[in-house]
Amino acid sequence: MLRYCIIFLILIASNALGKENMVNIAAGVYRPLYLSVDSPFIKVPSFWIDKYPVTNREYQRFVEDNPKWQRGKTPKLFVEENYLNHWRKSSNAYKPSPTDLDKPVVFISWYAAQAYCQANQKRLPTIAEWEYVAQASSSQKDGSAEKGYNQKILDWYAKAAKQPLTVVGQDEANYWGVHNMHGLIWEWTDDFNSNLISGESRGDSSVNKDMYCASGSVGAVDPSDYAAFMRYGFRSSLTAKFTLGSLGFRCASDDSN
Amino acid sequence: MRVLLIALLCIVSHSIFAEPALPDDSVYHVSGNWQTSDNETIPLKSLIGKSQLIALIYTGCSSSCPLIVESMKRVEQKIPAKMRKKFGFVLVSLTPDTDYPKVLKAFAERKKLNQNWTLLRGNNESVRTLSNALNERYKVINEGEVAHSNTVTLLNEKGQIQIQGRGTLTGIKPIIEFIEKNDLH
Repeated sequence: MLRYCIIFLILIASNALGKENMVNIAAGVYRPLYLSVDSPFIKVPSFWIDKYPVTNREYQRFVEDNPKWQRGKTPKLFVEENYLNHWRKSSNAYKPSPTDLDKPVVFISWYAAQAYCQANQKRLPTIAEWEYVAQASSSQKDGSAEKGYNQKILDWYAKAAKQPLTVVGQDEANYWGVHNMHGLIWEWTDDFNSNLISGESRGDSSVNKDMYCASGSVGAVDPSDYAAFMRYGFRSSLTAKFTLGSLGFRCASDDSN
Repeated sequence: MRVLLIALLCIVSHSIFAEPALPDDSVYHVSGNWQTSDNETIPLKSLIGKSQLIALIYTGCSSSCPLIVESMKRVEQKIPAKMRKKFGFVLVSLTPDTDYPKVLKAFAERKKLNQNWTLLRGNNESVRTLSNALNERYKVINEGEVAHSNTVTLLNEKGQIQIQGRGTLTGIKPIIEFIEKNDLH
């Protein structure tokens, strides 16, 4: 009997595990940087998102279960050469150093991030979802009106590259209870490659800086939201196999799951 | 003994049926199951063996997609008939939620696409992955409308990107020149 109880408890625990360290985000609207004429706001249905960026510890577990994603074994279609650059070779595999275990995993490509989320029955958040969560301050769903909110983010953008990464969750949680949306790393989104400034399909397939600069500033809804502008530009500059020391990710999932 | 036999069988069959290793940068590393317009399910790897001219389109697209298809047909016409069996033409739907196999089939018939053409339907995740592998960008504007980069990609018989052009009659010229220059036709 006791054995059945234990199995039952394990089952419950593993069920709950799916949403462990995730929070539910209520539906709302997100105001994108670039509006199309007839749809000024994007509706964001309710969804779940990870409280923290994925850590080296978590990613290591994934790599152990999915050897295809080990550093050195992944096709270069999916990752640049410095994939998991900060992991060190110990015995026969690359591993994060013990002090990095709870820091966000970086040097990670979009493909790798997507594969991680899928392996956990999750997916990457969309730009709309990510920005919707990111616009919350510690006390409000939309912190953009709050004094000093944008400046705080911009201050980080100004110095991010020089800062050594810290352990996740050291910051104050935002309105939703989500950590590290700003101030630690940049994050992959599912549809990062959807930034087509002209809004039609004649544009070049590669990132066209001239086009970005010219039409970008004209189309911006709120030029004072320079932080969102920077994220927009940053996403436009990425291709899916890029692996950068300041770029990580977190996962999301649909509310119905 | 029986276990040994089974193990031996496994090893033998594995070595017989194991797929040839894909080059590191082959687009065919993109996984997922893809439905054809004949409602068959295939992996992208099954496109191995021919050069493939590939583009992302959707059947409800009225502006640039017909142009993409026309420019790909232009390439097809430039290839002498006897060489055409070395080439394939692939259209992948950007709107898999509505482009069912029979919708793709009707599209192929409307556009008079012959058996050299493969029309594929994945799911939103696999299509996003493939678009990244082809350095394409797209955005679902609203239901049934997609803004996308108007790119046509030539893959070699192993799925490696050879050259990309735009899907217009002038934009396709570099691809035609590439095929001629490299004596692929």
